[in-house]
Amino acid sequence: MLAKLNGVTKRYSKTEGVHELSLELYPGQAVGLLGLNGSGKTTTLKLLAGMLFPTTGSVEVLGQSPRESRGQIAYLSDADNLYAWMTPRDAERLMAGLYPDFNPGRYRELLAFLEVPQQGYRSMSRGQRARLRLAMVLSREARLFLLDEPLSGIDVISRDRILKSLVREWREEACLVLSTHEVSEAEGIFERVLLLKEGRLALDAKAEDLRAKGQSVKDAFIEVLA
Amino acid sequence: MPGAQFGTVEIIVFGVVFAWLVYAGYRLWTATYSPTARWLGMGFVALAVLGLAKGLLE
Amino acid sequence: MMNAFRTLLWLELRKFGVFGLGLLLVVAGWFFMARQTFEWNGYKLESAAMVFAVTAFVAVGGSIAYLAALIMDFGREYRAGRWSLLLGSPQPGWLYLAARTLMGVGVLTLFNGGLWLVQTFWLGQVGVSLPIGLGAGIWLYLLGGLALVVPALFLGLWVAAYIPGKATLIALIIGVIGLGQVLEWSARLWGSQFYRWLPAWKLPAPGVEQNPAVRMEWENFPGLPSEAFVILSVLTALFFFVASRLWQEVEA
Repeated sequence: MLAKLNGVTKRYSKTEGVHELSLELYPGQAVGLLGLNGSGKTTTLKLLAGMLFPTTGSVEVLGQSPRESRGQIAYLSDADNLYAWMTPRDAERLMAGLYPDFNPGRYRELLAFLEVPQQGYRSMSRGQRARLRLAMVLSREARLFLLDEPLSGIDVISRDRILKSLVREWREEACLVLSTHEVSEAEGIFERVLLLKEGRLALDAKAEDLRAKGQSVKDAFIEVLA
Repeated sequence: MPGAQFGTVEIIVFGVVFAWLVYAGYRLWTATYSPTARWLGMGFVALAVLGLAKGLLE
Repeated sequence: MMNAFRTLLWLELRKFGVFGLGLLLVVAGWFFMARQTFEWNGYKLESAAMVFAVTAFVAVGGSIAYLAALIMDFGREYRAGRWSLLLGSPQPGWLYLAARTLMGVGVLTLFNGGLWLVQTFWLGQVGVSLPIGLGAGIWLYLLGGLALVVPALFLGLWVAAYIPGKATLIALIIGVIGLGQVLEWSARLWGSQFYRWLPAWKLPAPGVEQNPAVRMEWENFPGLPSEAFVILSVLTALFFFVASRLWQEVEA
């Protein structure tokens, strides 16, 4: 097992992010984390990344607290969070300096594959920004990848292409958790889907089991939300 | 200081300030997730109260 | 670790380089302005006093503006969601603070050192010679705000720790009062103790050790008060440590 949430509750000053959430993640898995806006996807990912501390319960990544194993965790925030002056080259310098597991060769391959232009972050479109940030995170040799809505702002056709290639060639030793509110996108891509509803895990299913029941991910989603 | 006399205005002003410090202490305790910040907040409020009390008695 | 530190320093340089450069331009501009002052008013003592006053004012104003920018940077990074980028890295908190401290101290040293040189040069023209050594040291440390870099960073992080709970104004007020109180109480409570431990440095306060009545009036010393220097150094180390802990506990 790679990571584990043990009955985790995260309370903010007035609201609750997640409630009594338990789940386990394994290497080689590509997991889709689905849910409506505000269902606790970002909170879950931040808890796994050690960016938030649970109010109750515990989080473990590689047998330690997330902060202790953060060298093994690659987290992509949904915030548009690069410095305005940064070019892809600056971003490479930042990543190479701060993250020992950063792989520059892979970074350049990803920049080409994702068609990221060599220009300042300020002058990039929303989609180009998302592509650059995705390339930065995926260039790490981490064990746990937590991507929070990594494809938002990217056009539909490219989204499909990127997602398919990302999941198809997923690494044996690492686990990918990718959150999205575009349920139809998860169809036929992820081997495992997690569905959050109001901070609770409403469904944790293998895609093939759903298929065996003759259910699509979208059907399951609608059934859970009903 | 024994025998010190306070007027109504002083009592009101210092009362309000002390009340605000208590409120600030409560907020500083509850409004963060960082244990260090929490305890530091208590320390700062305590120091402010002490300083104020000292100013009051002198 | 060295590589990470260089990267963080580069990041600070990119963030605050323009501000720092602006401050250096102010120094260059003031060099010529000071000259004009003497040209218009004549090379006399009143002009020198005026130049001295304005230089001190610019030094304090520039330093405060820069320190305020350092303080507010934590909040700005938080709101831009940038902490997830930085907190996610396996670098210890003190390394981030060390890079910020070095950048802050470097900029303020160049700025205030430059102002000091400008002032010394023009005052020299009317025969007022300022000693470079000790005077420049005090100027940098106190007027120039070098002593405030670490407390400013601490204050910025401390306030940022209260952004999620929306209590930043209270945190700022109590933080400023608290820092002042810590300084006052350390001076008050440990003041007399420090004198016993300190070596008898030959600082411009002759006869102090022999006269116990002067001990408590350390603020009025006409030189570098060694006691204040020691207290500030200890407090700097303390606040650096506390700020490092805050960095580790902050939530993005």
